[in-house]
Amino acid sequence: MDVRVYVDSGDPVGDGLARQFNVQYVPEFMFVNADGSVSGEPIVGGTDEATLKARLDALK
Amino acid sequence: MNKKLILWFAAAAVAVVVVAALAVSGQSQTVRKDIAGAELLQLHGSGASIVDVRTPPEFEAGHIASAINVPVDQLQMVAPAWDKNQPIVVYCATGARSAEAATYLAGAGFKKVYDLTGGLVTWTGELVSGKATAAAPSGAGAVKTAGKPVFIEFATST
Repeated sequence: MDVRVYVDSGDPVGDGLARQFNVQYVPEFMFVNADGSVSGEPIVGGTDEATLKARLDALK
Repeated sequence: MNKKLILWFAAAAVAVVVVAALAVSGQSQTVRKDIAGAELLQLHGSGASIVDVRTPPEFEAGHIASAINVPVDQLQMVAPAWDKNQPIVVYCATGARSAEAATYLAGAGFKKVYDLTGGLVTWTGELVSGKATAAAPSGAGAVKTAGKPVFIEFATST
């Protein structure tokens, strides 16, 4: 699995993705399948370990 | 000038015209077309992406179903990640911003760009309200991966 962290603005790739997916608040977590499709809704704000693990396990 | 020479020049001219025509037809053509609402629905039905180039507040107040929101001033940052062969329909409130967006997209190499004539003012179909979802249309929404799942965090340094 790739892990990508985009901090604040200034990174063209991160900025582009944030706008593409209408990210308005941070932290926000997105889950993307290997084929590039977005898995479920993003998690906005904090989350617990169990939820995060379940969402990561669900990725194809 | 004898008859043979005239025939030779005529044949050469025809050959030049044919070669030029073949060269032009071989180039990938960009379609940039103004459309009405009915055609927008047809295009969407056949897989075109619909992009609302208004501001997020305008979008949230009411937009065409399945549209994604990319304000015209952000298009140059977002569009390079899109599939240039994917047909794209752009619209705004009255047609001014979408015309600008369509011109940019066509210039950026997108092959099929459609602009809703007159914008939402002329739209008689249904509108939906609310924020854009993460489910962007095909070609516009896919995240580039290296064949592996990706976990993305948008964070702040403060």
